[in-house]
Parts: sequence; C-alpha cells; structure tokens
Amino acid sequence: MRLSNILALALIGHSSLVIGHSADNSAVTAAIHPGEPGAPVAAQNADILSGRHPDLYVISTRASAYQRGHEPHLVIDGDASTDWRVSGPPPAPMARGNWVEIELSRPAVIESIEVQWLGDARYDYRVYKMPRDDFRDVVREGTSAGGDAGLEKIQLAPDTFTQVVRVEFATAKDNAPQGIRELRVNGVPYPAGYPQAADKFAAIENARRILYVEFERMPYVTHFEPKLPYADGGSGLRLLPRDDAFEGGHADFSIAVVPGRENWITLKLWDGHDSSMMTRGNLIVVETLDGDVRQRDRWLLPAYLTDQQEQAQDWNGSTRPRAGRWVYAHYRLPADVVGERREIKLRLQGVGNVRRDYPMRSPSPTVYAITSAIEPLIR
Amino acid sequence: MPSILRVLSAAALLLFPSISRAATLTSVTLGNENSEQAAGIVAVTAPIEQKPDIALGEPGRRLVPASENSPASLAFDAKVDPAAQNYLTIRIWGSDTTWTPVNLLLDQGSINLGNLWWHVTREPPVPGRFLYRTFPIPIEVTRGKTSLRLRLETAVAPQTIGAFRNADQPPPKLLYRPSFALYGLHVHTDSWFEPPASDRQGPPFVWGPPAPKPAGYPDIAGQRLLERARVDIDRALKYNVANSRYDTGHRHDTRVLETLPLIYHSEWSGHFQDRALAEKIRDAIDVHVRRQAAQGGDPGTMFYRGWGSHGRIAHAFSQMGEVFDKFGWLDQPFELKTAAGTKILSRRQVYGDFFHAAFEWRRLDRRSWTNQPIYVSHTLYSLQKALRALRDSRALTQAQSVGYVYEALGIRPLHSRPGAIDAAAAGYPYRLITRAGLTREKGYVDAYGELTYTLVRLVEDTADPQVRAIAEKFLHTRSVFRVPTNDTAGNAALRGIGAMSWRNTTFPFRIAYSGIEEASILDGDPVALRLAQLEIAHGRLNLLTPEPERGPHWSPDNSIRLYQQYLKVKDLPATGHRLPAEPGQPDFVWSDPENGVFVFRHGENLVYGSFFNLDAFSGHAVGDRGIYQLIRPESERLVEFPPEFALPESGLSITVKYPFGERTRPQTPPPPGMKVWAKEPPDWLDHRAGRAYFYHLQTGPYVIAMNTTETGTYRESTWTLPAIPGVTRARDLATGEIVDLSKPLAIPAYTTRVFVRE
Repeated sequence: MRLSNILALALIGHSSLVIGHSADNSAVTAAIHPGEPGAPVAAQNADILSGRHPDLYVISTRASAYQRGHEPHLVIDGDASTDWRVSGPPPAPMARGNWVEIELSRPAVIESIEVQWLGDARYDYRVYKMPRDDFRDVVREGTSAGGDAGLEKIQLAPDTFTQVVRVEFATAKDNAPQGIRELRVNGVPYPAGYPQAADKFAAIENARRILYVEFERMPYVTHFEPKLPYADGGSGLRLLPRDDAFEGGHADFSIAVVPGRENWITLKLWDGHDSSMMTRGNLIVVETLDGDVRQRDRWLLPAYLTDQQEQAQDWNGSTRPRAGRWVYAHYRLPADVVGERREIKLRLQGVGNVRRDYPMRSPSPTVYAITSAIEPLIR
Repeated sequence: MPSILRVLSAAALLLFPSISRAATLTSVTLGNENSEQAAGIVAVTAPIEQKPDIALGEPGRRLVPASENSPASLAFDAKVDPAAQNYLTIRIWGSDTTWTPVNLLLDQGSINLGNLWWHVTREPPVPGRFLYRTFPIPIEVTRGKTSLRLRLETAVAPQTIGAFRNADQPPPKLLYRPSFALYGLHVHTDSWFEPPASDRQGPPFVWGPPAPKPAGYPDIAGQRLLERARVDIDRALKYNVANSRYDTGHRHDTRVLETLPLIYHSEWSGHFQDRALAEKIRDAIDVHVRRQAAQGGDPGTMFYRGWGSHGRIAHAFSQMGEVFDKFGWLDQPFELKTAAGTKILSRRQVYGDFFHAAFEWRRLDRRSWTNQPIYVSHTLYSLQKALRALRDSRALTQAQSVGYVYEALGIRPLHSRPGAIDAAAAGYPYRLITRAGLTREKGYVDAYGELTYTLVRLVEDTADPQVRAIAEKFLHTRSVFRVPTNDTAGNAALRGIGAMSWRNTTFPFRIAYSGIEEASILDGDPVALRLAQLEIAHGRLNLLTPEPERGPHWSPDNSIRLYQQYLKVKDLPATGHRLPAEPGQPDFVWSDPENGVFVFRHGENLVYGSFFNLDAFSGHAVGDRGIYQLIRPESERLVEFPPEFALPESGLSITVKYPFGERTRPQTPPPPGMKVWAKEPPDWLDHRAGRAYFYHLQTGPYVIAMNTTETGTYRESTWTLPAIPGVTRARDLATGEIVDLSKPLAIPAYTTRVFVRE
C-alpha cells in the first residue's frame, strides 16, 4: 500500500484507453483505472491505495467511557500523542474499573499484548479474553511498570484464544485522568492490522450497541469501527480532504465519449462505509472543464448509485450495507454538454456534501475505474 | 470563447417601446390663475400656499387631507402623445418636510396609475433647491389618445413612516396625511425633463462649513471620544450580562457580552486584565450554555431570529479562551441540567457542545440577501474559531470555516438555496457580491448594501487576504456612491445614494462615509483614508454626543473601537485620492451590469441610475421600471422610466395585473440544463430571470447602453444598440471616443457605454 497526502500524477500519453464498440463489450466507450501506474489522470490532494486485506485485523474498539477527543479508537492509531482517556469510575452498573476493548476480525490465539499507558502512574490492570459474547475470562492480572515506559509487553495465559481483548484497570484514588495511548496485539501485523494506524483517514463508524454487564443490560456502548478503505487487491485513487481548503482533492482526465448524445460516466468505487456517500457526504462530483460556455464549469452529482448489496447483521437486529463493498456511481453527461465532441475533459472533485456547503472532512470512496458509455454500466 | 454577435431582429428578440423625443405637451404653473384655468385644475383640500421663506417665495398647492380618512387631490387636463411613452413631472421644493405617497389616477374613476412618492423620506431631500420628479404615465392609458384627465391624490401612509420598527411590533396604522406642496406639472415624451427657463432655481449647491467643535473640546480624540468610550464601558460593566432570553433584548445582552473582552484587553479601559471581568464573561457564557442545554440543546429556540447571537457569544469566548485556560476554568467540572437529567462534564466539553450545536443549526439556513449571509457567515466563522480555541475535535480548520465567509462575499457561489445550487451546477453560479463590488439582491440596495463596517470586521477576525481584497473592492465601489451634501444644519457632509434602492428605499439616503473604521483596518487603502479624512475634516465627530445613543442597534464596542480607531488614523498623512463625485473631478462612467446599475458624471451632471428597480415583477421577469437620480448644482431630478431591453426568446414569461391592464414580461433563458428558473417558497427566485441581456436608454442628451451578459457564462453575447436617426456624433463619456450612433453599434458582453450627443 502506498499512501501520500499530496500526489500529483503527470498526465501521460493519450487521454484514455478507448475500448470502443467491440462485440464483447459493446456499450463501453472508454475506461481509465486511475490508481494504476501511468494512468492518464492528473490528481492533486489525492492518494493511491492498493493492497490485500490482512488475515487478522482490528474491526472495532470500544470502552467503558471516554472523554471527547480521547475516544477509544485512538489506542490503535499509531500515534502515542493521542490517547483514550477517562476520569473517575466507570458509569454504573459497571462495578470495577474502566476498560477498553479491541475486537479482531476472527478469533485467534493471542500470546501477548503491548500497552503504552497514559501518564506516569502505575496501573493495576486485568486483561480479559472473550471467546463468545458477554462472557469474559481474566487471562492476566498485574501492575504496570509506571513512568514513561513506552509500549509495555504483557504476556497472556498460554493458548489464549479469543476475538476480543479487554484491558481493564482500577480507578485512581484521586479520579486523576487515566487511559492508554497505544495498544497492540501480538500476532496482528502492524500497521496493516490496525486500519486506523495504517490510514489516519480510515472511516470510523459510531455503532451503538447494547452491552450487558453481569447479565444487566447497559443502555448502549459506542463501537468505533475502523474500515479498510481499499479493496482486496488492485489500486485505486482516493480524493483527500484538505485542511487548507473548503473542498478536497481532485483528479483531472480526458475521456472518450460518443458525440451528439447523452453519455454516462461511471465510477467503480470501494466504499469503506456502511452508508451511501450521497447521504454521508465526502463524495465525488464530476465537473466539466472544457467546451464552450454552456458546456464547461458545470458539475454533476451521481444520478444514482448501484450498491453491491452485501448486508451486515447489526447487533440490534437490523441490517445495513457491509462496510467495505463495491459501489458504482453513475453520472449523466447531458447531450448538450457532450455536443459534437469525441473527448471531454472532466474532473473528479472531492466535496463535503451534495449541496457543496460543508467542507470535505474525510476521504472520498476509492476510485478503481472510470468508464464512459452511452448507458450506466456495472462492469 | 468568441462572443456571439446578436443583431436585433423581431424573430430573435423582444423589444420594448422606442422613446420618441418630443417637446413638453402640457405645463401648469400651480398658483398661477391663468395656467391653472387652462389646465382645468380642480383642487380638493389642496390650497395655494405661498410663503416668502419657502420655495423662493413661489406659490404652490399642498395636498392637505381634510381628515385622516379622506384624501386631498388635484385634478388637471393633460395633453398626451397617442403613440409615445408620456411622462408626468412634478416640481417640488426640496426643503419640504412632509413626504407621503401621492398617487396618480385617471380622474374619471379610480384607476391608479402609480405612486409618485414611494420613497421613505426622513429629511428634506434637496435643501434650498427644487426637485423635479418624473413618472411614466402607463402607455396603456395614453395609447391612441391625445388628452387625459388626471388626478394627483394623497395615499394612505403609515403613521410612523420612516420610523424604526422592530419586526415583532404591530404594523403602523395607515392614514391619509399631508403631502408636499406642488409647484408645477408637466407632461412630456422624453424621460429627460429640462425645466423651463421661467422656473426659478435655488442657489447652486456648495459644501457648507465643517460642523463646529463642541465648546471646550479642543481635542476630540482625547476628550469627547474617550468620554463616550468610558460612558459605554461603564454601561457595559453595569449591564446584567448574565442573562439569556429569546426576545429581541438578547441583541443587547450578547453585544455587551462581546464587548467585555475588548474592555478586558484594552490597557486604557481601567479594567485591563481584571479577573473579576473575566469571571463576569465566563458566568455570562455559562448562562447561555445552561439555557440551551435545558431547552433540549436546540440552538434554534435560543434567540429571536438568531443570525448573530451565538456568534457574538463565540466571539466573546474566542477573545478569552487563553484567559479561561490560564485560570483553569475550561477543565473544571460543569454541572449541566438537561431533560435527560443532570450531567457533570467539563466546561470545555459543554462549551464545545454549545458552539458545535449552534454551528450545525445555523449553517442550515444562511439566508440569501447579501447582508444576511454576511452576518450569518460571521457567526459560523466565530463559532468555529471558538471550537478551535477549545481544541474541540469537531472544529473545522481556519481555511474550511472561512469558506462560509467566502460564500457570503461571493468568492464562492451561494449554496444556501437549492435554486442557487442548481444554477451553480449548471455553470451559472450565484455570487452574493457582484464583480463590480455591489451586493447582489434584486438590484441596488441602500442601507442593506452599506456593509463595509461588517466586511472590515471580517477582515479583522479572519486575517484572510481574499476577504481583505473583497472588502477593499467593496469599499471602493461604495465610494462611488458618496456625494457631497450638507446636513440639516448646513454643515458639509457626504451622503449615500438611496433613491434607486429596490428595498427600504430611502431618499435622501443618510449621511455616510465608511471611513474611520475602514481606514483603521484596511491599512494604506487610499479610498478608506480619503473617506476617513473627509469625515474628520467635515467635523462629523464633533457632532457626537457625550453619551452614545442607546437605541436598538446600540453596541458599546462601537464607541470603544471608534476611540481606538480614531487614534490610529487621525495623524496619517493626507491622501491625494479623491472620490469621483467630489467637486472638480473629471467625467467618469461606472457600472455594475449584474445589477443593472449605471453611474456617470458629465461636467456638473451626476447621474445614479438602475435599469431595474422595485416593480410588480419583483425580479421574476424583466421589470418595467428603471430609475435615475440626476444631481445638478441648482436642482435635482428623480426620474422613473420604462427600460428598453432585449433578450433571447425563452418561452417563459410572467403576467401582472395592474389597475390599468395586464402586462406580460419575459424571463431570460434559464441556465443550461434547467427548463425553468428554480423557485422556492415563499417567493425566492433567482432574480437573474428578470435581468435582461441588454438595456438601453435615451434620455435628454445621454444614451446609455448596457450589456449585462457576463463573460465566461452561457449568457456571454454581444448586443447591438439600434441606430438613433440623426445622432451622427456622440462622445463616449469614459473614453472620449466620438461615435456615429445613427448606425447600429455593437456592445460587447459585460460592457456599459454612456454617450453624450454632440
């Protein structure tokens, strides 16, 4: 995987790969794969994502409590200057200390964990495994070394087989701030196994789920779920938000079109969210860059999205699109915009929302292919 | 992109009536028995009035209703041209003090042809000189006729005309009230009325002396301004600022709150870095935060209208964030009572929730008339600045939050209205400040267009170069609308232009400079400095009362800031810059095609005009009323005219029913891909639907041609000024070029040309 906040790709060679009207793919006019090396795309404030999904990775973090700005997912962000932080005892009916949990993509044997504690105080801690829902077993108790010791290794009980690791600690007597800066699980490769660490822009979903404490139901606990922003294989281009601008990055390209009629631009996207970019925001609009005064400086929202319907079962009984799936966004290029041209220069522009009146704050879905055709295609 | 040459033809264009030039058809000297008899004058409670110190001692007739429920009137016979546009001009004494609506009616019945005085007039508009008011008689009632019986009649007016009224106060009662006196009536067929030589005129305008300094105040800065600042500091400190309420009183609450940090940080205030003052600010913010939480966390329930109050609270906090941090107040526990129970959080967290919620609420409605988005954007910016001061993770960056300011200043397109978003997506963005530097509304606007004071505060708060550039451009444009005047005491001043404002039209507009605050913030800007130095030279600061007025717009920071700003600018070297309307300046032409506004100077004639104004089409279709004000040393004229215009056929139109008949007017073609202009309830519609592509006007010696189409847009096109028979030599006032107007003349996109016949 190759990441960079600003990547300007030179426009190389001919504008696009023209597939034309072949017998086996009759409707596609042209296709561009913007993440591939040498793709005829000039991008700014964008990055290229590629890689395979790791076998074992963190899919969720949650905690007994947290202070705003110190959410539990910060223990896996690879940044020791951020932390999960609490103060005082956990909310009732939780009776012992505060805790943070990380959930893995599948159960595995975990030999050890590494913890970088917040502050210099020593922590009386317990580490739990959770082989199945709501039943936790202590696999280690101890006291931290104290001081600024960096990542402190904690050896777990032999053959600890679990999907969830919880680290709990006793509340400080003076209710002083406590917490964890970083948490690693032995056997989970860093940083790929920690999407938040691998990519600071990885999406965070705030799923609220019911938690049971000793068979007593808590209202809800917020789950923070880092997403894999790239597909399992291949390369894609992602438009990034900019701290120095209202809107995000962009990618310019020229693509062949069929003159004199309506054309469609379809983006093949990998969406790491469980919702539509149209409602969520941080989406992509298509802008026209050339042509006469009636044809240029126009912008288009997707006329519709084709969403691969893989549903994820929610703990609350509902279903939702699986975070991490293929989505096809179809943009209608009106005939008057195309005119008599055989090629048109377009821009993929990252924007905050469909009204373009909120800043782009997270990356767009990753674009794996751009096609033009006289009808919206899923290929 | 090459322009498209469009030649006027019946097939492609819509043309409206050509003005034929002819002499005056009817002239009545009121108070002159022979003249009145010839015109068949019948006066109902409109007695002759003649006083030696009024109207140069000439007689006139004043419309004086016998009661508040019955009108006064003056009927007369008028010869008209059956084929041309006819105009009625009335002669009025500019020092008159009663200005109420006067309708023109057909005497045989009650058909109302229009109101001759729809302006709000708070002071004598042309002191010591005559004003000629010209009104187009609807062509529907003159067509095919050679004479008409007309009647001028007082119309009902609000009892408190011109007085400030809060929106939550009941509307004023409408009554018949006395109008101005009339000294002459003239019917003619050129919108330009040249007064007959027999009309005596007052002495030509000259600037009066500066307002004198108050006795015992040799140094305004050290005495009067400081005294005023101290009065307001005292008021602000005594004000019960720990108060949060919905009614309009919240404006004072939050303005005072916003001022307290200024006092805290001013070394001369007597309360510099006073901890007790910081506590007062903290406690006041706490009160607002607690109330919002108690009201379900809904910012929309907090303040009436709510464009600025959260922003002022945020601004107060931003100025004190480091102080709060220093005292450790932000991380103190904060007990918050909500509908869901009592929570104990940190002050940092509850403040963050308060500002964030206010931002998320307010950003959803940012309004669309320029002044309103500017106020709202300032609030949004301040809220984000406060969140950054709190180091709240939800805060937008500086560059992101200034994006809302960019939208309000036209740097980014307006995206607060679906119709504007549609237009932007179609390649025709709607920007709230025009390229020429005026606000974008339905047309020119006076008071709500005077926004330099708030723009420079945005410059101050954002320190953003693009914001500054727009503020400078805006100020430079506004300086074109500054004309020499005298106040009611006869002291020299500058006045803004209001007569052609499409809303809240004030004529004359108020004394206006936009100088001292602007010059103190826009360091080195020669226009701002000239305005400031004129304001000082005219002695306007001498007129400030020891105690600042505490009206509905009172904000104590104004007097505090004025003192500081005056100290900053008072000793700056004199600038060589001169305003275009100052005496002795050369001819010029200025225009804003996007607003249909033209301004020019030709010798001693100064003209401020607009091709569209408040009319029944309300910007939804090409309107039927243009207006210009001619300022001359010896008299002024206020002229309404039906604009001649041209535009491509769109197939879209709007019909309006008048008392004298229906008028159907076209809409311009919508942007590419849009079949109609987007409309939003209750009555918002992109007013560019009603802005013709091409306007022209022949009035007296002048020919004005304006191509409103913007370069780089779907409208970009060249239009042709039709040939004017016999006008073989006309001089372009801007360039001096001599042009033969007896032949058609191409006018390129986004171009205004003003010619004077030679």
